[in-house]
Amino acid sequence: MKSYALLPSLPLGLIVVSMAGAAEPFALRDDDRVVLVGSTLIEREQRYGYWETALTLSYPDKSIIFRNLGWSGDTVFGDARAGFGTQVDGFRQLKDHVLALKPTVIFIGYGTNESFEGAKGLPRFVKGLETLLDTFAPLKARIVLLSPLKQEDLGLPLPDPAENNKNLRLYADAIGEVAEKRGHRFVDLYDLLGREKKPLTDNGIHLTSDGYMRSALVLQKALGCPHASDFGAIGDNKRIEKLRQTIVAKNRLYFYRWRPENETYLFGFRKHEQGQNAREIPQFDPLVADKEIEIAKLRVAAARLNQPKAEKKP
Amino acid sequence: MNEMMMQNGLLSARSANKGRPCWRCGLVVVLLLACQSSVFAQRDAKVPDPDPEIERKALQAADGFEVNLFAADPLLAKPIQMNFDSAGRLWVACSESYPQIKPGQKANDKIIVLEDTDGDGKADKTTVFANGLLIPTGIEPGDGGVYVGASTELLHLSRPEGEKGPLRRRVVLSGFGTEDTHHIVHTLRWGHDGNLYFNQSIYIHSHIETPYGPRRLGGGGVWQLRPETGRLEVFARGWWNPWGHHFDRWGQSFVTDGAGTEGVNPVIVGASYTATPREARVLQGLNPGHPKYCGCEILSGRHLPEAWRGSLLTHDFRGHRVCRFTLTPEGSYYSATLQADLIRSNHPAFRPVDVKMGPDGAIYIADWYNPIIQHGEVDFRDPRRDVSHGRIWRITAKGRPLVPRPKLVEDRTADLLEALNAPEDWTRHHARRVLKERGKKALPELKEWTEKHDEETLRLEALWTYQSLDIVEPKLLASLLEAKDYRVRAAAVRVVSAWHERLSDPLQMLTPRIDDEHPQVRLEAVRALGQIHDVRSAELALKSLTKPIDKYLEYSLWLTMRELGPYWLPALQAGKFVVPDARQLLFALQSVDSRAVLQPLIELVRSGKAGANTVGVLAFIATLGGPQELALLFERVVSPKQTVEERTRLLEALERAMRQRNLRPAGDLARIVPLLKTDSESLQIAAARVAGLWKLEAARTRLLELARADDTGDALRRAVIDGLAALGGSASIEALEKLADRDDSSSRRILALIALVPLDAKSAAHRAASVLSKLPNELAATGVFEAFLQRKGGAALLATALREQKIPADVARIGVRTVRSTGRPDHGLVEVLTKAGGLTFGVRTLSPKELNAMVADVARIGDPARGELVFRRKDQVCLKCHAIGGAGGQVGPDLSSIGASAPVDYLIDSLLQPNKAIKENYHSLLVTTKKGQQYSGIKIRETKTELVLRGAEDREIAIPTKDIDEKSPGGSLMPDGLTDTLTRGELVDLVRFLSELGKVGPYAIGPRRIVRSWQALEPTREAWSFLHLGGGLATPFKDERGLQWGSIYSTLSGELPVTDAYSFSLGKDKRAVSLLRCHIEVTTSGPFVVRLNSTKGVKLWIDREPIAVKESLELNLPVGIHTLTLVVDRDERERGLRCEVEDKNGSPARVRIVGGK
Repeated sequence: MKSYALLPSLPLGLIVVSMAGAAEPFALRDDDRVVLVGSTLIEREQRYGYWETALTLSYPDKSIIFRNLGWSGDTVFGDARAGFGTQVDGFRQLKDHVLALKPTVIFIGYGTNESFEGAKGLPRFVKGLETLLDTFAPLKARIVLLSPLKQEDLGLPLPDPAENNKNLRLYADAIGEVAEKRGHRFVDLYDLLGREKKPLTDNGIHLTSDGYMRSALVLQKALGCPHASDFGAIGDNKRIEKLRQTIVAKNRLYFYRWRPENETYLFGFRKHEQGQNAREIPQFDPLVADKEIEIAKLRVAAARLNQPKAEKKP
Repeated sequence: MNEMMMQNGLLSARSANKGRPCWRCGLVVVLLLACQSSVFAQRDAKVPDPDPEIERKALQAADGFEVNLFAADPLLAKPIQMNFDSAGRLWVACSESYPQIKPGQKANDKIIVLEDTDGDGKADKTTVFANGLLIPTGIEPGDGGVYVGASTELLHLSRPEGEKGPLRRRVVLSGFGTEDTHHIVHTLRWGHDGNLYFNQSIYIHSHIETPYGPRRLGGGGVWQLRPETGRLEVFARGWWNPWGHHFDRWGQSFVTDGAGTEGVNPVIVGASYTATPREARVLQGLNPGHPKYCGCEILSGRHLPEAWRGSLLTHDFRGHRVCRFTLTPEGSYYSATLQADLIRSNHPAFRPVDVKMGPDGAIYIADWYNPIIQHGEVDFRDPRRDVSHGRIWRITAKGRPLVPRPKLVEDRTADLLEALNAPEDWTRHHARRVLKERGKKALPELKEWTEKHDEETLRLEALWTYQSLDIVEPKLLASLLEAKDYRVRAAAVRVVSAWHERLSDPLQMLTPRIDDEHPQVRLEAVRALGQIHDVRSAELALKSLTKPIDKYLEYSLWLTMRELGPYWLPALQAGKFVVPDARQLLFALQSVDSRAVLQPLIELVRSGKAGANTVGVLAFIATLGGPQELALLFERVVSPKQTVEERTRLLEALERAMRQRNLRPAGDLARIVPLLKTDSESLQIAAARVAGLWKLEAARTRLLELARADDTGDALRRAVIDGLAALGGSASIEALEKLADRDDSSSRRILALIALVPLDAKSAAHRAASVLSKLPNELAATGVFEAFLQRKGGAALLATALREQKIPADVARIGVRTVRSTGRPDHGLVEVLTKAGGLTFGVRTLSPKELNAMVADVARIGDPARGELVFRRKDQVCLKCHAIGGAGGQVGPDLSSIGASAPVDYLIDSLLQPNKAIKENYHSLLVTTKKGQQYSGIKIRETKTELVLRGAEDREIAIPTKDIDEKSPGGSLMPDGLTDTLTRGELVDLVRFLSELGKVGPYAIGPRRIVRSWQALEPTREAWSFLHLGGGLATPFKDERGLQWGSIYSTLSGELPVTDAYSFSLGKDKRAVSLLRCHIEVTTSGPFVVRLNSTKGVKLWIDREPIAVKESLELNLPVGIHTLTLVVDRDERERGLRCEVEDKNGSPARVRIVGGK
């Protein structure tokens, strides 16, 4: 593992968190069910787990369930979830998946894929986002809207991101406006690291493991979550690493549960042949639950060690 | 707290997934019929002894070749794909968790590296490079590690700190679909151009984010990725399971399909192939009717005999064969000819899945080693699934020296450049890879080397090296565009396409190539222009029309013009699209679906510039135009100045416009009524249909008159009755009832009854018993039953009406079969029919004990020769739906290798319970229309305007998309109880016959081109009058129209029993004569040979000319499909008829036999 001493000195001032209408500060509560939904940015977080670890450590004594429903290439219209069907089916899946989990908190990370439609596509995107938020409204969940990331300029042979970034900024701002209008929290990740030189991605658009770790801290701070200043120790702390790995393992089991391979045979149009094997899929539930118990133990231990010294009682 | 967690765990998204609503609407349902499978759920054969030596001895290699074991379990298990790295190490993706991760199981699939350090042809070092993977389906080493396709991701795995250092996993791409674990990203390959190619199969829906925007592919296809720039594009679309892809020496791609049946597919960049979802126009493979193939490698190098170099190897993994094709350029495309197998075997677990040339010039084969293949038909957890074995076999040519293993990785750049001159594709490919990975520091030497060489092939290697390094070299490119060898020019054109954004004037570079003397170069140029988004590209591409156009060039130009539509269409509207002649403009206008082309097309028609294409252009206009445009067609239809053929075609176009888009021409449509009185039957037929659809009351009287008249021909009567039915209303119902009530056995009654069903199913049901009791022949009953089954609630009404009735037993039998072949049979109706027909049979079932006994008897006393006779019996209707070697019906799967892939108990199950396991692509689709009709069939294609199914009667059913109310998946179209009329002994023989199909022996279809699909003249009124007018057939054929030909098929041995054909009694001496015909397609003309087993009693016509018949007949026919008609005097001929096509040495001719039904 590398050293992350740099982290506490990040120019966090650049991260804009809009809280218009959200009178109380962001906090996770006991029994919260947090759903993350969006495109690759969200989907890959489950593989690294840094965001979830950071948020877990901010509330070590709270029992919180995290479920990642990110899907690469997705849009506010549910394009990537259409399967054999159309966009309409994709959106229905998006809606059904989120509503079935009855979340109390939803992180929404869209806009990257839509931004390739440029300024002319913006009104349609805003409308799509509003429709999505209307769809989630009956849940009365606390909603956090994330902006897309800026495309990093990593030089040749990767493409010059200047044009894409104009659009990404446009879409990020639009998301911010929707958040403000509807009284949702908004985290602007566009300038995630400000002047920090070290890239967060290896292709300009997708966070690396390191990128997730560094952005986790940013997200934690931006939301005003506690213990942010000590989260920088994450890379060196074996207990935190154990917690993170357990979170990743839980996410993997949950992935097998909600997006199993062989859908066609298990639940799709060939289920009359191999549908009997679908009985295995709910058998992942107790395995996920076991991991949650492990996480509950680990988060308390990890947080204890992570307490700022000044707060420790003599 | 635990409780809460449990609760949350259960709150997963799966509950939402259950009633996935998408199955009802846009779903691409790709479905199948039972009776063939890759399954091996065996009771008869034991799981084989896993000793590799036993397996090796069971592998029969072609003469001159031998097989040795390179590596085997426990060093590796379940290899899926393999590729060599430039150091000559073999990287293998292995999966023990296929087909599905078990709850509680840790995904621990491996990447294994095999090395033969001492060069003795056996791996002596094995390294587990990575583990912890979930079903890695594709592998290709490179860029300091290895690319692996697994689950939703394409990963790059590396150990930057050395073999023992930690594993670094980088997600290169994510968002690949996983809807089927043998469809997930597979077949990774570095291209000659530095791109990484990989494939996905038909159920996969991928949504990938790239720095250039999201890329989506739903269905099968080939992806193209340049890892360092992150650019990802779709290289080609289609196929079911494109499990093989390789490039030939000239950079041309070839794809094989592990679930399709079309053999080898040369790839046109950007084209769509068989099974592309929602694509109206697709290209087919070169070998329709072939088994499924897995893997693809083009052979090269000094070790192999010269005749083998350039051949393509692929695996009939179901039939335990390694197959070889020779590839021959043909026009702008290729032909592929199957040669004798490289390996054949009856070892039940030998499953060749991948094939690669090795660094030593030998052939390496990955053997997945499994008695059970596939997981669609066999339970995921079937205990007989093998999870622990796997082999890599190495095949060498006896007595020929191996190729010295090139070093490459340690070589100096100069040596690598020299390696670009090697005869082995392997060496050149890896030299290029190493140069690419060395990066720009190799450039000065590359430049010098390129300048030093003027051989075109070497300079092409240099060009590809530059392309791999992504360095644009316009001068080198320009020189190769002028190469003498057309294959080099074609390759160079493709580079123009890749570099066009960085070339100063790519259009200028392509201009001479559009006019190239070789069609393949013109094809590449046309496709390259599709990438250059400019109106001038479209103008230039159209110039290819000034040279001869074959069907692949035509397709390519159509595709390019579609891709460029957004650029030339606005220019056209602005008057800035400069096309020199009407033909080019016509082509362009007919390539896009935009209404913007209507006006220019109409102008071309009006000015007469459409010339001979006028009718085709008008028919095209009818696919896009509104009432005003349709009126143009209508005016011509009613004008006696046009020919009957033209008017008929235009009427048919108007009929489609009405059916698909609900549009009528503007104006007084009643002017069509006089056409119902013309003396042209085809015109009358077309007019009758249209008049009904347009609801022209003015036509009713005449339609009724024709419907009633005794001398109305069958085809016209059918159209007229359809017209009346479409006209609808109580008058139509009444008229149809009257026709159906006539107390005779005419086809008129049946047609009227069928037409009545959609209008008043109750009334029709009431009349059904009477009609069914008096049929001209029992087969006519099929249509009646179909009509009721196709009506919502029709089956129940018919059941009620027939409940206390009696109908002939054979009619009832046909009824039961028809009901059972709907994919969702109505059991109530089956019961009623059984009773009404006094049938005694029920569906035969076997207890496990009886099944075991039958399995034993199949091996002990089953006689395949007798079984073949049962299979061929007309009342068994096997051939109506199933082909063997491409000859037979198309409804169910071809059975050529069923015996080699399916165990005996599975065969018995499939015959008795067709719905138990259904072959991929053979599920039925049930479609209900808004008008309450319901259809079932196998989906053949779907476009924006219509869905086409193939029904159990092997007829295409076109359903306009706008009429579809609901679609749902159904079961097999194969009816239960088909074999119920067989004795146990006959069933045992039939199973024995099926179990021999494809096994080494007399029941395997070989590569010889034998005519297996024949047509025999049927004894209709027209046939008799034709034969009498034919004057004993001494003169050329005259009018053949109206003749009906029925399908008959050769036996496995290749002989057609002439007794299967109808025998006409002709002439004064009442000779027994049969008329037979078959079709051959010439794709390149030249001399070839047609061989008959004997000429005794045979007279031959080719097309309409009599030919002096000989046993070995040399022919030279023009390109196209030709008909061979044989008149067989059965009094003179005792033996069957065998006819085959052979090549003539040195001749360029390419001839194939047209199969099917």
